Amino acid sequence: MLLEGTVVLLFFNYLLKIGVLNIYPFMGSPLLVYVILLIAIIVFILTAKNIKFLVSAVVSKSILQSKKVAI
Amino acid sequence: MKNSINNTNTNNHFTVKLSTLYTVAFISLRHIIHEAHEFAHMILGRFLCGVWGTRDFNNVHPMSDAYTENHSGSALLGLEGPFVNYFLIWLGTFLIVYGNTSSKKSWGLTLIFTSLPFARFFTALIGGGDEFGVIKTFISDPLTARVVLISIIVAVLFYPLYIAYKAFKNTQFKRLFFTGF
Repeated sequence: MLLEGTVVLLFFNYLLKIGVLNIYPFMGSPLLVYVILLIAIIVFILTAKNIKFLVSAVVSKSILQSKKVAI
Repeated sequence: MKNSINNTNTNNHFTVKLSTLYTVAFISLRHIIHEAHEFAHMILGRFLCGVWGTRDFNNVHPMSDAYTENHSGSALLGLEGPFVNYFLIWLGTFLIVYGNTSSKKSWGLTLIFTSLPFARFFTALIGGGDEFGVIKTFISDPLTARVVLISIIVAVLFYPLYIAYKAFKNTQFKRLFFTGF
């Protein structure tokens, strides 16, 4: 699962960073750039709430144990 | 990646969760920041040179007589795009360090890696990128220019990446983020 995620992320990163899509003549159109940007903005608006769940706070065992002692 | 991947690190009091929807949001934001980088070049190019420049899928080329003859204008144009990336990287660092909620820390980590810190370093290392174009106007020797530039980039990026590394400490995702972005 991690490997799959890594491959997907690296692949998209490669597409965006290296600009491999330039090899296709129809991809050189500036209009397409703005269409893709618009799609990216819409997708981001729809999925942005998931970003805040990357890191979540957890209470460590030691804190839990100290609370139990206190109770 | 149908299911979320959890990696609990009780020592740091954080758990890192990489889900499919997070990946989609990450890629979208990555593309938006890439475009913001190019738009920064375009807008300043329009302001300094009076032309919007030529845009292809990957880059903008704000070429004009004023751009090529004016070194300070050329440097400003070249730095405007990376400035967006560095600003967002440091904003992410600020959110991780001073953010008192896990939500802010998540946004901080996301901002750092969607701004592609590794790409800034790697393009300079292979003698490309906006920063190298700028430093070439001031230092003629390519090797010296590259060494100076890499030193500057490392100095600027070391602290944000150190903070990100600490946030990902003991999680399996640090390899993914640090090698990919």
